Amino acid sequence: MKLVGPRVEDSMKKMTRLALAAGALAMTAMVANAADSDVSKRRALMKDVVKANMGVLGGLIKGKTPYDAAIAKDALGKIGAVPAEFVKLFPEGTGIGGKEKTAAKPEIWKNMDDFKKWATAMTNAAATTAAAADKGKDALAASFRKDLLGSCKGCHEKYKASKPQ
Amino acid sequence: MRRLIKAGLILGVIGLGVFYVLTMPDTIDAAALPKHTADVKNGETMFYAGGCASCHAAPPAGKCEDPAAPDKFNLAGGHCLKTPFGTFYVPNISPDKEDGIGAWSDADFVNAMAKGVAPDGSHYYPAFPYTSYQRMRYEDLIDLKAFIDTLKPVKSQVPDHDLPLPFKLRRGLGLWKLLYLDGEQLKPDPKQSAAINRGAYLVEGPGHCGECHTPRDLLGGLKRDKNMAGGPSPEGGDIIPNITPHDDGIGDWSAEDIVEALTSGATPSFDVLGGTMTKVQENMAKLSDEDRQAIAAYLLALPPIPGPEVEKKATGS
Repeated sequence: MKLVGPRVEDSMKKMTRLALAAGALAMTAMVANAADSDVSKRRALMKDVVKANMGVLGGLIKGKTPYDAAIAKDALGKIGAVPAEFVKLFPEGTGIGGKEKTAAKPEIWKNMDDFKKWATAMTNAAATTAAAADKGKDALAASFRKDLLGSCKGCHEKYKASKPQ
Repeated sequence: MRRLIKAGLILGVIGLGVFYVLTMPDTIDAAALPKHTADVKNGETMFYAGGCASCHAAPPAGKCEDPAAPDKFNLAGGHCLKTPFGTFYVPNISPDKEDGIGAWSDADFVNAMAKGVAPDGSHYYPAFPYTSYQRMRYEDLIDLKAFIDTLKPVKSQVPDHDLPLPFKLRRGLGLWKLLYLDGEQLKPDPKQSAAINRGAYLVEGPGHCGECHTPRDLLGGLKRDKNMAGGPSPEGGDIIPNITPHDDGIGDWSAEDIVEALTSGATPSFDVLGGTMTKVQENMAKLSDEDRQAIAAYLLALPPIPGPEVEKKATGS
């Protein structure tokens, strides 16, 4: 049974479509905003890029995947490319105590030069480990622990809290 | 009125007297120490397990807050520890005879480590984790002293601690110790394996893991019913993780994962142990593989406890 006349029904349909479109736009904007924050971007670099590739290297080192220097070097290349981007994502006010939860300690902004040096160290370490990859699994494992993990640890020791706060 | 004042004065004097008696330092006599020829190699193990350098090694010049120590064996002190109770300046424990502990007897060293009492009879602040070191065997303490005596004597004048009242009153620590220093050494449990017993000793004694990983009450004492369940960092600015085998902690870690983390710093999720744990891990890496496995066995045998007790928010970490 028709509750309203055909013209009202038309406008209702239009309004509904408009409302849905506006809603979808708003949601996209919200999602985009959340994904766009520097905090989320830098977290994504570490978790999606670095962690995933560390996993690849871990698999090769532990013998879970057949050793292939090319795969190792590819993973290390991706890891090594992260710091240059990463270091740009630390504007003032985005540390612990800012709007978003983060593990970035205030020491970063007190020692920005040192922080950037650690970023460069990570790229260099990835390159060193990539060179070792050509010498076989044991050389890769040794360099992974000493050079790559060493550079992770050095920066994390000073500048990263254990949990985002 | 005069009677009231008199009564008040008498009560005051009695009160001071009681305070004095309660806060008298409890120490061990040299005669009570076992006859033991020092084993310097074991002392070195205790040095790493105990993490002495992590606090006592000299920081980079002019940067007392910097956790990096250019030379782990330069025990000149000077590192500043900022805590909710004030700032502590870590003393010189190099074997220098004036500025360090070079003139100390074995009994002096044992009293410092196990009783928190200095050779002059004053109390140490529990920023020095004697509440854990008290679990250690006297033989191990004697060995540790012998190892420290082989290191370089270094001259340094470290500032006094910068603490507000009432924490400034060292004598008051005598009361704190009545509550929190039970004086019990860790005895092996015959029902457990040798590995778990060794792990328990390393974790609860020299490792002093609970000093960070166990939450504290308002007086700064460890909440031992939440052993190793994590909490706010005693130095502020961070949250120390739960290392019991609970879902909140290391419930999905294998013994191999724990050993790997202690050996290289890599966690199962390909993160690295960071913050203050970096130095701990570097010390753990110097222990024998057997000792690291013992630590893993003990941690996995702990009662699983939820924690840390901080507001849990929904961001992935």
